[in-house]
Amino acid sequence: MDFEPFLKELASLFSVPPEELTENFGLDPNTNWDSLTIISMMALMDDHFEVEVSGEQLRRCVSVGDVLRLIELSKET
Amino acid sequence: MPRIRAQITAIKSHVPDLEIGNEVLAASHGKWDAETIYEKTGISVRRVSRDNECASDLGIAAAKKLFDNGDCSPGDIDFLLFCTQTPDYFLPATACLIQDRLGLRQNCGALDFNLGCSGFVYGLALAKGLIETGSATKLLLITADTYTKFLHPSDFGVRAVFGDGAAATVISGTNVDYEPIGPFVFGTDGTGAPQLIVPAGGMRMPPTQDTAKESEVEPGVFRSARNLYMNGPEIFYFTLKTVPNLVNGLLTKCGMKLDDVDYFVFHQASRLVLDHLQKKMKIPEEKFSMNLESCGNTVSSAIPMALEASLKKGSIRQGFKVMLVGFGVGYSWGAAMIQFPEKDIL
Repeated sequence: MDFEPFLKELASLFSVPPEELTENFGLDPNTNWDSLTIISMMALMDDHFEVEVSGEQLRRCVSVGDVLRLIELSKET
Repeated sequence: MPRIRAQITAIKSHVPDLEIGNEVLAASHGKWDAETIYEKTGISVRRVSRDNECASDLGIAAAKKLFDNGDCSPGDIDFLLFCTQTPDYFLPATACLIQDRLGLRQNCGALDFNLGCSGFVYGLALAKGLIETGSATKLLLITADTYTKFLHPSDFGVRAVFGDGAAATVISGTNVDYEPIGPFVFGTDGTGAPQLIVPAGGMRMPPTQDTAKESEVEPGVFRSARNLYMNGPEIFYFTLKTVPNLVNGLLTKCGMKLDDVDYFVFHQASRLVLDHLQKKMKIPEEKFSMNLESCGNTVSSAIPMALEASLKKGSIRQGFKVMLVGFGVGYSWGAAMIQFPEKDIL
C-alpha cells in the first residue's frame, strides 16, 4: 500500500515537515491530537483509502504507525 | 387533477447581534490561530444569544420579519410548529407563548417538537401532513436554538462550531399539479444519544449541586453535567456511515439520479464535514450549499438559513428541485426533496 501521499497530508495536518512524520510520530495532546484533528484524520483516511474508522478506534492509536496498521486492517476486513 | 399541496412560500431568519470572532477564540485556545480556526470550520463569526435572549425571542424576531415583509400576516396562520432543544420552560410549550406574543389566532394549533440538526426536515414532513390532510391551510414552522448557553467557556471544540439562530418558514396549501414538498426518508438510532447530549437538567438527572461541579475532561477543557458534550469524531463516523445512504435512499424513492437534483442543502455541521461529504458523494461544488461563515452551525435552523441564503444569492432558482439533508443529535436523520414553483413566489 502506498502511504506516501497520505503521510504528506498528515504532515501538513500536524504542521510538521514531512521528514518528521514517521511511523513513530506520537499522537498525544502535545501534537494537537484533539477532536478536530481526529476528524481531519478520519476524512483523510476515507479520501485516500476509502476506509471508515470510528473515533474510538483512532483514539486508541498512539502513533502514526498504529494508524497505518488500522488502515491495513480495515482494508483486509 | 390538481389537489391541495403543501409548499414553502417564505423563509426569514434571525440571529443575535452578539458575535464571537476567531481572534477571540484563538486567544482563549492558544493552540490554533484565527486563520486555522477559519480553515477547519469555515466560520468567521458565530452569533451568541445574551443571557435574557431565548430561542423563543429569536424565533419571534424571525417570524416578525415575515409579517413586516408582507409574506403573510399573523391572522393567516392556523398552525404553529416550534422546533427547539432550548425551550423557555419545561411547561408550557414554548409554541403557546409564541402564539400569544406573535398575536396568532386562538383557533390556531401550536406545538413544540424536540429535534436538532434533523428538525427542519421533520418539521416539513409534519407540515405537509397537516396541510395535505386539510388540518391546516397556512402553517408557520419556527426553528430556533440557543446551544451556546450549554457550552462551557473552556470547551473550544464546540464553541468554535455552534452559533445561535432561528428561522421562520411559511408553508401554505397551494393548488398545483406537482409535489412541492416530499418525498422523505427518515432514520433514527438512539444508541447515538450519549455522543451529543446535555446530561443534566431533565428528569433523568435533575439539576443539583453535583451536576454543576466542573471537572477537567481534557487538558484545559472543563465541563459539568449541565454542559453540552459532543463526541465530534463519533458524530463524524455516524455521518460517514449514514449520509451517503440517506441521499441514495431518497434518490431511489424519487426515481432520480444525483445529476437530476438541481441543488443540495445539507445540515451545516462544519466546513470539514461538508467538504468531505460533497467530495465523497461527487456532488458538484456549485450545487452544494455552504452557509457557515457568518453564523456557524445553528442546529435546527442551519438548513432553512442556508435555503434562505441560497434563494437570495440566486443559487436556487425557480423550478429547482432541491434535496435537504439533516443529520445529527439523537442520532436522528432525514432527507426531503422539495421543488420550487416555476413562478417566483419567494
